[in-house]
Amino acid sequence: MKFARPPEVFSFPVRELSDWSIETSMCPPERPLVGAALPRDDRGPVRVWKPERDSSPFFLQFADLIGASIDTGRKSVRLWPLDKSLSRNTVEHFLYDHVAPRLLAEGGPLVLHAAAVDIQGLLVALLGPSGAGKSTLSAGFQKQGCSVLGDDALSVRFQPGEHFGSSLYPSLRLLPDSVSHLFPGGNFTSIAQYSIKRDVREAISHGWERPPTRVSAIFFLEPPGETGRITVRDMGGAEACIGLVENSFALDPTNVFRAQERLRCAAALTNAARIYAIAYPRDYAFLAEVCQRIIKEVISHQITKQEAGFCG
Amino acid sequence: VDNNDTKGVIPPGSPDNIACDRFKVSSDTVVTEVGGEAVLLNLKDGTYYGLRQTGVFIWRMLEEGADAISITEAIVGRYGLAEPEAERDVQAFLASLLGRGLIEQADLAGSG
Repeated sequence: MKFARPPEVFSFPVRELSDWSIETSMCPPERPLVGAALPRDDRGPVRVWKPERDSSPFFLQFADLIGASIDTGRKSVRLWPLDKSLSRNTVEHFLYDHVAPRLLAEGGPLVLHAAAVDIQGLLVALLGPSGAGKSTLSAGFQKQGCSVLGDDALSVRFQPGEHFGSSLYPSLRLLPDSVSHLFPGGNFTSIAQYSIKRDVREAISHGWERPPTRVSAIFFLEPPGETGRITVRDMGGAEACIGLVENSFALDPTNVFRAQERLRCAAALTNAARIYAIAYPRDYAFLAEVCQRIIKEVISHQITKQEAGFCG
Repeated sequence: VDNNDTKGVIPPGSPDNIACDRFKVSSDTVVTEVGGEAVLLNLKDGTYYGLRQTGVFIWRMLEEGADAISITEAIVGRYGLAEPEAERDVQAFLASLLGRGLIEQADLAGSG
């Protein structure tokens, strides 16, 4: 079977992946699924197959819509459409949110499944499983005058004395209910043909081209407590470090060398940043208060740190 | 002694007959300290475990080759636990680490 539509041109929105080539095949693969299927994560309907030999490509499949063979040696991606109705935004969603973070993680930095907002020049990362409310809370920060840097993948690199983070691209994807509450009247397209989430990136202040921002604090979003109140607690080092590793991207989670690298990077970040767990009612009426609580924690710690530095 | 496992509590292992044994850290275990606590990574299955302060204290003794008896004595001296309670908890903790493949019984016969 061949698809009638000619192949389109795609590129990664990440400077570090600018030397990767992306080709699009005209027809579905005859036998792409070789090797061992790796454990599935919770970041959408993606499966990864590890090659039988080190020199062979990985294969990623996104639902029944599209696949990609990944040759890390040649730095090439070959896209395999699996469905005739494949839309361009679905391909971009697959490339930007599933392929790119995994490739970037192979190159060394810690790539977290995290939203990121800029609070007075400080980067605050929001982590939690899919559906925890990272994107809605990010949109809440936008309403409070902060910049949304992205809502899906955050690359963190260590530079002497500090950790700096960059969102892979300025994404913000919201369910229709959140759109109607936060951007009433907005008319946004879906992020992919399998999803009802809307792409509202045009409504946020763009932070894509800004330089990496110092990571100040990390908040893990926990389920709402029974009290119906906002609660914030400091996370212990081990709990925080494991949480970072579990919320990081990896092309091959079974690669022990990369696993040690992720642990080392996560431990360094744990020792450098303030890491909290926050629980709050998932009610739009609380959103501004939750944002203000986080801003207060971040700013008060920053003032304390500056005072300590001055006195020392 | 809390077994200090944040990645799903390590079920108590069988503490029988390990009181006098010596242990060594498995070559498949990677340990990283974070803010007074530690994270263990079992490279065989990719599982992470957290150790809080007491667990880190015991782990350091294991790295130095201490046996369960000397670890128990140290725990009693440092944390003021009653000896039977400390003995039971230390042995259960060590058995749990053994069961998870994070430590191994040292080969005393081969050590000379």
